[in-house]
Amino acid sequence: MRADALKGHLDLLLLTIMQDGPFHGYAVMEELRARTDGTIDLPEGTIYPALHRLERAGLLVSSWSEVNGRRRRSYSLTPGGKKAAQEKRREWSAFALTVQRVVGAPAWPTMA
Amino acid sequence: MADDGVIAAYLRELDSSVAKLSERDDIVSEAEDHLREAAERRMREGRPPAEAEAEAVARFGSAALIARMCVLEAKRGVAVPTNRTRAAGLAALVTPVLLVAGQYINLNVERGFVHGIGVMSLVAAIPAFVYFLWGIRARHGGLGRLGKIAVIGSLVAPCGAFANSRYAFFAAVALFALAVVVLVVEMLRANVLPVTPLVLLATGPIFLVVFTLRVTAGSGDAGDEWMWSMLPMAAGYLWLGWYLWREPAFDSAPRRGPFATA
Repeated sequence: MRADALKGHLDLLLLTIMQDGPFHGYAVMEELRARTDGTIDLPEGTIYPALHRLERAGLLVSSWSEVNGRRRRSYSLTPGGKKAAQEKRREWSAFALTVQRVVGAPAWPTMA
Repeated sequence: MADDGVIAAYLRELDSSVAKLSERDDIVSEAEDHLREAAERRMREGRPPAEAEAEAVARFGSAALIARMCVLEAKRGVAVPTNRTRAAGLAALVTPVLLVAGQYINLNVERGFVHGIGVMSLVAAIPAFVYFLWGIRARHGGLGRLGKIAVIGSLVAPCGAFANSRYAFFAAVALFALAVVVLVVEMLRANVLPVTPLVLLATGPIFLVVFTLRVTAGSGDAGDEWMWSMLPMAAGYLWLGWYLWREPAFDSAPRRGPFATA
């Protein structure tokens, strides 16, 4: 799946993954890859600006630690982030159901 | 970044690409952690170090792309209600009260302490209006460049109304109407807030332009009658204010009390 197909849905994916967090960026990508059987293929570095934005919005909170001599930033959901994840999942379900009604509808009956 | 491998070279490039950003050090540290971990994993799978590093860097995305994404994401908001957007709703509800009360006192009370309060109320309506515009843009997660231009236009245009010229006044009204209509169209496209108050918000300035054109073509003086054309806008404005104010904020901490269940 191309990165532009994810446009508008990345927040939902990140917030949903974070429900099992805390995760650092690499672990988020690994989770994303594992849960989609590697279907989602976006430049890995592009999730960091999105994570930073979600943190600025108060939906994620991060903390730094040192692992193998490197600085590591781990993210977890705030209470507001949990609510936002639920709300976005509800919106997505309604949207997906609506599209499915059209796209997944049986073909117009034709004369035999 | 001591060694001169592919990752070290990439990090130097990234560092210079994001040099102007306030989060520069954090971005580079996170990138380093990510790339080293990705390369280590590939080496555990049996890849030679140079190949593992090159593959990790290739999957991460170019330094230019990451820098561009950082700038773009920094401009974007998250289209969720927050305490700030709720406060913006409250500011929208307070603005007309400040305007009406301030103008009433300004016109009917002799100069003195109370008159001063009235004038202060009128002045306070301006930051309340600005705060509402900021909040409604934030509620939509940014509204893009066009939305930003429209917000600026609807802030700048009313200033032209103070010009001592009929044509300058008309230009200000036209600019204000255009800015509000563009803002409303962008908000309708974003599909975040209810349609009716947004449409009401846009009809006021359109009525105002029609009214001003009619007056300009006719006698040229309509007194305070123009205010009536703004009633739909005021209704939409208050409706949106109420809507923003009553939305539950996502960034509020859950209330803890003696009866909390968790």
